[in-house]
Amino acid sequence: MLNNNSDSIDNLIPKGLSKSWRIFIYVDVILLGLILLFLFSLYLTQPLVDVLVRNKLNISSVDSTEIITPNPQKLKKEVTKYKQKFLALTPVQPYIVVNTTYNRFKLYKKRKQIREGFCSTGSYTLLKSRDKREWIFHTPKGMYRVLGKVTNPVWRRPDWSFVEEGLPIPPPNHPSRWEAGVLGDYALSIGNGYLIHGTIYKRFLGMPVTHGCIRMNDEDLEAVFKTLEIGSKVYVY
Amino acid sequence: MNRSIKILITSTFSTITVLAIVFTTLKTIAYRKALNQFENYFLKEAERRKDKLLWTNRPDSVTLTLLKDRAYYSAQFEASKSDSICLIVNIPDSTVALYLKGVMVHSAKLEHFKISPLFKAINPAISNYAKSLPFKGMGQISTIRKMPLMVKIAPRDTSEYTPDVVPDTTDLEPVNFIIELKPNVQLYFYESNSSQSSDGFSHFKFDLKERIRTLKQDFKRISKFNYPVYKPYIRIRINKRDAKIIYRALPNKGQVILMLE
Repeated sequence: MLNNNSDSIDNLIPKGLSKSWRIFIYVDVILLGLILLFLFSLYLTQPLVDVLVRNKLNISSVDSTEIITPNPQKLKKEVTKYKQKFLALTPVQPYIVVNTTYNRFKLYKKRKQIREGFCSTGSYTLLKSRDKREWIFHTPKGMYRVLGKVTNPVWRRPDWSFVEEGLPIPPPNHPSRWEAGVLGDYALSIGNGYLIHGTIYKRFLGMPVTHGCIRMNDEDLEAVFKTLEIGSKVYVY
Repeated sequence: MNRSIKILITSTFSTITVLAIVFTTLKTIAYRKALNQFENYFLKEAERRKDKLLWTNRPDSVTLTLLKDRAYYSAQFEASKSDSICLIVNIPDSTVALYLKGVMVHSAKLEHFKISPLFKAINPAISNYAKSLPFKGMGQISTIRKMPLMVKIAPRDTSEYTPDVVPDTTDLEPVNFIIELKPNVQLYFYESNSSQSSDGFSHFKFDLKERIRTLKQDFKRISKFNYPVYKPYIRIRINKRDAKIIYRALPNKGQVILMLE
């Protein structure tokens, strides 16, 4: 039956083209084989190896003299010590955690979350001036501390603020550098010029739009200002 | 059918079968090598730190829990010494969490995970020691950018100035990434809620690209008469938002604590 079918396939091949058909079939078979090998290597080798090696424990590589059998009492003490040391890392004092990816914050007091809300953090804009100066507007990640607290803060406009608006940069203490009312009612300094402050652009809360500072709405800012003390920790991630 | 075609088909598929067997065998040998490399790495680390391996041949459940707890807290404490954000993959609890200086700043539920059998084959004394140290990051590969920088050229004067427009915060880009850890551990993160078909295709593309990259490296090594490399892996599926948060927060060479059992 198979022979009959094969013969009929051969019969289908026009006689004048049979050699080229044969070459075509040779190439096809080899290509198909290579594709199968490629797919096997990509998708099946790893699972196959995993099945082959499953439940085979490696016991040869450790010299028994390198292993110490722990004393249960001593071990218990060590665990308690490590646990206490580790738990002590979470402050009992109030602290704030800021998520820069989705622009949210969480405020904690006595290790319990007491408030959460939207904020705005750095826009990840790289500003290039005509005189080849550059600024990156992002909120740096890490642990900071509240270094200062101010009510009714006045913003001292840095150079980039003039550069990005196409204005000439004034001298350091020029009156045009001082702007009141744009930072809200409170500001908390966390170092290197970064502040937690209010904003007049409330519609942008929850979006990455700032020059690196952390902006909040009036109610959240007031709660944060009243909860955090000088020295309180600010975790930015 | 033509006899020569029959011979060709048989010989081609026999060759391919042989090649597949050879490749699988080489990969199995590579697995043994990877296992030894993993163990030697931590043995050397223990020697360098002048640490002793704690284990008992007949561990009861209490001692076992104490040993695991000791390793866990020790790793956490070690990671907290660094200023950068640390990732903890806790398989028994099915969670991943970001810690900064010992404080948990974010946690997420694992929706699915798959672990290389190598982690179960490690000598338990070394395995317990490995858990007591954070793994060091070697690099990351991702479908999203770590820092989505937008370049803005300052206007010449006020007439050129245009106020900032509302940023595009739609989460359309698929989030899949790999964290490479010392010694050769691959931590895969895939977004789980591929609501759009393009996300599913992007996941497939990302995975295929990675598999081809590994295969290329293997063939390169085999062509130089070396064994291919087996990389112990942990494949994790989590929510897209959490995946994005983790990728953006974790430094390129950040530390990862693996709690696998």
